[in-house]
Amino acid sequence: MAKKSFVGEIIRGIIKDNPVFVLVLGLCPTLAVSTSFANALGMAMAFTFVMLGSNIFVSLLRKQIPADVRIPIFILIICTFVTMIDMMLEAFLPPMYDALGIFVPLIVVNCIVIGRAEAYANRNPVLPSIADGIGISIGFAAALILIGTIREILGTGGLKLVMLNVINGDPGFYPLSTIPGFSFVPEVISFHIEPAVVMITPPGAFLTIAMLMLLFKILGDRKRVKQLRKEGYEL
Amino acid sequence: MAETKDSTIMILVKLTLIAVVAAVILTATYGVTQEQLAKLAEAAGGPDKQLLDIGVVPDATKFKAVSGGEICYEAYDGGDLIGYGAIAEVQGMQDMLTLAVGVDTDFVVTGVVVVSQKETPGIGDKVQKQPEFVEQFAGVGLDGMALTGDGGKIDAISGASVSSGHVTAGVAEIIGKMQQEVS
Repeated sequence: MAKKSFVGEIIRGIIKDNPVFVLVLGLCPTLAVSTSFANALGMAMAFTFVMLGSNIFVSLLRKQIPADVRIPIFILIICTFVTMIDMMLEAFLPPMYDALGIFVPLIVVNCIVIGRAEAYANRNPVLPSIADGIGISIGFAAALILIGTIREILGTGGLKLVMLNVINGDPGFYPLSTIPGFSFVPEVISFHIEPAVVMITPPGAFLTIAMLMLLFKILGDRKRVKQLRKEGYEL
Repeated sequence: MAETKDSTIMILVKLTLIAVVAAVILTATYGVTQEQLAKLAEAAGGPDKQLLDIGVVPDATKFKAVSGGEICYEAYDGGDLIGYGAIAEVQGMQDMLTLAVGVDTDFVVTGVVVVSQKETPGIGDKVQKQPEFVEQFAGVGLDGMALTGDGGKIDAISGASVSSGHVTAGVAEIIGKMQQEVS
């Protein structure tokens, strides 16, 4: 596999096949856990683990998986990874486990993961499947974090940036300022606006996603119009 | 997609194999995480240590389980019995609320803390995030344990009266249980 297309596959997963904004898949966890930057980051990490694991193993086993029972086998593989990450979160990141709640176990039926297993990993070798998994995961993470950031700022009037870190042998999500080199970042970035509580409730998620989709559609259309003008079309 | 048509036996064998491998991996993960969970539980201590850490009976130096009780702990200041404390789950608006309640020997509240909640973010979660709400429970006995709208002494958080009501009813329920267990 040439290097260029490996990167190409990743970028395709982020932009052209963005799971949330383009494929419009996996909206349930997107709506439910994108209330804050921290939750979005936690969900994105759990999702990436499952997505990569599932894509790699489905791809490895693709010649062995009988077509008649491929869906049960996909679910079995996905379940294994979801249960692993669920148990590990409970043991090693209890606050995140409480915040994400039911939505980690529900990755089992996340249509993005099973969709990629069926549409991609089951038909492609391991390396491109890894690239696809990375791309889709970054695309999902970017969407989730973007929505989470917007909702947290509008809904609470501030933004708490966090990062996975280990302090005194205790892994957890700590303020970004605890990472070397980021000590200038304040723990809560305040925006001095009146918080709109609706933004951290489920309707706020719909509003945010709708506005972002509209924005991306407008940007995409403009680019297309420019392209067509260049090719000599009268528009 | 697999081109070959597998026989039923092969399908069964393959499904079983994958299931067995999955089971082995999960058993290993379970072992590792259970160890860590046991460590965490030990660090958190039993309800007696949690009650002491939360401080719902401010002067208490030691909590001891009431004999035959389920949730109630006797609070001691040195050797004197000064009240009772309990941590229990009660019904919230959507999910369970965990409340820590401390009372004196007359079952008048000395302190209430919402330990965990899953109320609506930004609305019902104020019962935990606005400490002024639980602070007003101190000094109130079982007879006044209702929202002011229902003839009690507790002011609901404006906009979050349902969650406020659940906390108030939960505190009353826990005090009732403590009285039962003590007598």
